[in-house]
Amino acid sequence: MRSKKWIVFVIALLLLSISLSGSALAQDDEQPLAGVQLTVLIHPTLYAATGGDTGIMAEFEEATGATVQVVTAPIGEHVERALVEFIAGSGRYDVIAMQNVEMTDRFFQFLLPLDDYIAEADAGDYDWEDVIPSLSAIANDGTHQYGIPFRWGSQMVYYRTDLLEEAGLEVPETLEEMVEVARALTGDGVSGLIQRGTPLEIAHDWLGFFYGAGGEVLDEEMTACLLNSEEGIYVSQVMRDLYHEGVMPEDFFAIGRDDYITSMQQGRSAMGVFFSPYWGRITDPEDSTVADLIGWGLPPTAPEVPPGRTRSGGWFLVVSKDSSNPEAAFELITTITNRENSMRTAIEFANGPVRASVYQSDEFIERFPPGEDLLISVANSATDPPHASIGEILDVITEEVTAIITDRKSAEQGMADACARIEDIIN
Amino acid sequence: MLQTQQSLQVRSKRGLESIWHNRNYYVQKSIPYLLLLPAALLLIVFLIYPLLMTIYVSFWEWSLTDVNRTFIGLDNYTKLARSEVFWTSLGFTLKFTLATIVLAFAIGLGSAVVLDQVKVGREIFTSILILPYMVAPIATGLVWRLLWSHDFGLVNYSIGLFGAGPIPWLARSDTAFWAVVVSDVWRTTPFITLILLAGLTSIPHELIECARIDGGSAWQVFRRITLPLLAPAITVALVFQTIFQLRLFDIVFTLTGGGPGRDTMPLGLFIQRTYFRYFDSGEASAISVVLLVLGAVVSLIYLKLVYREVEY
Repeated sequence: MRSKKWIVFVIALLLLSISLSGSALAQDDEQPLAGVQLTVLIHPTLYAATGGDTGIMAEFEEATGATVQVVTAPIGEHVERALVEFIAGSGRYDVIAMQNVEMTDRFFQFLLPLDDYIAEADAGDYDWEDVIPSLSAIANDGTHQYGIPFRWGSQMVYYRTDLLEEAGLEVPETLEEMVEVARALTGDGVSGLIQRGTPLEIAHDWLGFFYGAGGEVLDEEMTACLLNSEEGIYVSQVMRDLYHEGVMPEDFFAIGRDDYITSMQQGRSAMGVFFSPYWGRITDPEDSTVADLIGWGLPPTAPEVPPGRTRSGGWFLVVSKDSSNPEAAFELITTITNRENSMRTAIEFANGPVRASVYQSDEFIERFPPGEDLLISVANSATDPPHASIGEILDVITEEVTAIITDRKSAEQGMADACARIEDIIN
Repeated sequence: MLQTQQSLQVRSKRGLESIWHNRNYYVQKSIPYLLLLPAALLLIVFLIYPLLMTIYVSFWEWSLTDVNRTFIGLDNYTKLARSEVFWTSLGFTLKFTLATIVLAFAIGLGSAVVLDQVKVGREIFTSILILPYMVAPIATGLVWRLLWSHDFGLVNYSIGLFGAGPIPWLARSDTAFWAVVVSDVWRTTPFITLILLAGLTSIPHELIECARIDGGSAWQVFRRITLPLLAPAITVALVFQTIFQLRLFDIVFTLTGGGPGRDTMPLGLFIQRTYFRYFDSGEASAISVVLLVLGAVVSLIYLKLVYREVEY
């Protein structure tokens, strides 16, 4: 009797352990990355563009069993953190978001070549071809692909439809028209044109107009500076004039990204050329008092320049070559950037798309009306030269353009000095 | 024979005692050094080594992301000497240091003298006064950025009550300079107050009372008795404050980003920019060495001019 009970007990125990191990195996199948920890270094705006704490990364954790630790940092600190870890070879960050200007040999040496991973993912349903080739080419050194485009944006001209209508004016298509419209819309506590004037941001916005005028920063060999051109002088003079005429706000040099978005939201500015993904914020009815009165158009250019040419830029997701979980890291990247989630990030979280299919979808165009124009602008736009000293070049532009606008130098002198300094840096 | 043996035993005992005594002597002598060793090791690892390394790197063309390095002697220093940006940054740093020290010292000394007179609740007032110093400089910069805001800042609102128009504080070189100075003085003055208050508290009151009895006016007592006796505290406050101000970074980083253009860029920001944006460790180290020498020279001048031994 006793031995019978004993046998029953042992059999029950066996059955229990088999069922438990079976469920564990099933769980392993369902959660192939259980126990894996990934650390992601990302800009807070980009993290928000993945849906934040309850978004795609949380879903990835649930689906794979991996733990994703997210570290956010603003732009300057972001690069510092990444760089320190790269040099130390710590592999602390598995996935890192990096800007297009950082996609140079200087950083490629610290990144994992992704070609094999992409080929494998593409064998499934990742559809690498759908990612706009000119964007993926930025993170390719000619031999290897080091980054996957995640967010891309160009500039759009945003304006107050009611003010434009009142003034009986058309949406400006050329830079000259933009100047005239900006002058006409100035008044009653409203600035005709708002742009960013803080260090570095002033260079970004100036470059937007400069590319729009048909300018290039460096020649093809990247050995000569081309700022000292008709386009450079013209754009600098225009900005100088608009500031002194009071068309641009008095505190122009203290205006950063958030200030200019707020200014448009509060109806204190009539027009501005802004980074396209900010459309969502500018027209957010919860924050904007003029949400229904904002129109958009291609950024103004010189007449002979392709329409919508301006400064474009964006972010890539890369894997550190010292990552201890490169496969899992790449899986996270493909999860964030696959077709389905690319559409979601664009529509739900106002991310700037990197896939042609998103730009062409009705859903996206309905949610983001400037979408079609944006595709034209993205196709025609320029990016900053991928020179290792681009940081220094942008600082020179900041300083010389500021000197011109504040009348410490003439436009000719400022641009000549900028070129002399830049050629000293690059040669 | 026996005597000789005894004498030998006594001698060897004495010898042993002497060795033991000597050993004890050396052990005792070495104890202070052993106790200092952990602190010295920490200093070597975290201060001396980085310092020597910084000086060493400043003589090299040393990119943060490139393994190839070249010895270039004083080239980084000559490059700095030719750099307009460096001179602008150095000029701003010196002007800022001077302005903040004068203002913070005047306000700090005044507050310390007033607090010294307070007999009831001095601790409470001191605690309240020190609050700004507890705020992280980054947070101070962000808060003051809002206060200086052109369109909705409290400063412009306040001057607007008196009919003055809004001023673009952070957007003009001259006003941005003073905006940075005032924001920093607000944060750092409590440090000076505390040091000077400690100095004032340590001055024997009998001396002051004697001077008063002898007919000295409040100003005479302050100038002839209090101020000279406060010299060590003043020196400490000035030396520390100067070194802190020369290393300015955080407040400017959040308040103006060094702008307009580069007009409010201190050497600290220039180092950060050169190191992390231009990846030029050699030049960044050279700027750091210049800053170090500057701090040392100014401190020596203070010690020479202000510091004097005080005996009560």
